[in-house]
Amino acid sequence: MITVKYFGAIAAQANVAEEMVLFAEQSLVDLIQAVTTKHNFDTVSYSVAVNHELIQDVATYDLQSNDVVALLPPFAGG
Amino acid sequence: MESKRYNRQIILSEVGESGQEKLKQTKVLIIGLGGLGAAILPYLAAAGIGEIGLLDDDVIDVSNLQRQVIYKTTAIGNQKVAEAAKMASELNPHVVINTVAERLSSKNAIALFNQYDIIVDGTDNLNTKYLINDVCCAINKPFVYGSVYKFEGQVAVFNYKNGPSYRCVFPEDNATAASCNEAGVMGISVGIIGMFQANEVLKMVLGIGQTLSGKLLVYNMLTNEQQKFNVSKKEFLITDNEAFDEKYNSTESAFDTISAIALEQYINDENSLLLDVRNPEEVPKLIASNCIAIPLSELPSKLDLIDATKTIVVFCQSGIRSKKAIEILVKADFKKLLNVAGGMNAINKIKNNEVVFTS
Repeated sequence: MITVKYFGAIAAQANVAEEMVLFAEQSLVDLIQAVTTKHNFDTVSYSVAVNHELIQDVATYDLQSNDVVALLPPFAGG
Repeated sequence: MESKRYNRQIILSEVGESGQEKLKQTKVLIIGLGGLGAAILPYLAAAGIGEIGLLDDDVIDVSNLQRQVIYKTTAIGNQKVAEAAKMASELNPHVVINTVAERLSSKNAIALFNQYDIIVDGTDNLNTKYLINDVCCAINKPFVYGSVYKFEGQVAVFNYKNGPSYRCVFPEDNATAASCNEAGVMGISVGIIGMFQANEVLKMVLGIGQTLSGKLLVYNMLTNEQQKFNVSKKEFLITDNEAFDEKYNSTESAFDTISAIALEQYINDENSLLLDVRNPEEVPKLIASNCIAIPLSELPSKLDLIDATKTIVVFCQSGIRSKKAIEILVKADFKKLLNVAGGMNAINKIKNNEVVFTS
């Protein structure tokens, strides 16, 4: 299983703060594609962390079982 | 007298007389005196930071008072920096307070930042956060970032002792995010995040604890959950004044910015072209005989659709992507370019949220 945590406008769009995704040999890109399609995140920009590390190269990152993925949009309120 | 004022912190072994002297020798610039600034300023002034600069061009509105708790109801309509300076001086007359009632721009930023040791971001829009970051990278100043979305807040220390910058976390400056005005916010939320920022400033000056350099802290006020994410450093895009000027000032001199109100004179005007660079699903649409839509991502390949003889008025949802679009147009040698400040959000606001203009 992979845990996916949502923050800010992403959580508002998904309507949940976190969810579990069944794991099957997955790249990070595939996972993001799947949750983006499910929740329609297209209009919100965000950065991605895995196990509390910001990922610079999302395209080549492979997930392992029990990873915790976080989608972090920038906030702008002040 | 002065050391009696600070007695309760001087008796902390982590502070002491020497720590107090460090605070006195430090100059901090607070950008934005809204909800974050209203929490940052009183704690830094009370702790005895020697010199504090206040930058904000806004006046106090009644809708600010629910979260910008340093302002009084009787001060509605007054300059924020003037009222904030008065509050801080009354709280601690030993602090030198400088006020600048201007909006931060690529023109005034470098000279201003050079006068301070630490920059604190109390702004409410992404455009300015990228500008703060890029100036700090160009002249090597640390800045303390803070931002709120509804009941969540982010805090980080950027560009500190060769650490990562804001662009290492959020690389793309065509991102969009809602401000407090758009998304709504409790006063407490900006207060908590502002105090986290003030705490980072004091730790940096005193050299105690661990700062949030290389970290992004996310705090949720509804669950009290807080998480820290590690940020690694990427190559900086801007490392000196020259690179900064290239990004900001070479483009800025090539176009003008107009307000949403001023946009009206270009609607249906045959000598101008309104260019909507938003994605097709973004609403409301601006309906006018001289308006065309080319999403920012497609702009480089569709430049031939744009009539270069006309005044080109570019807009997006908030005014960030339209600036990117203008950068592209400047490079492609288009002249007569106008950027609509605040984009469709600003246009829609003055039109009372009605779908605007018909042809």
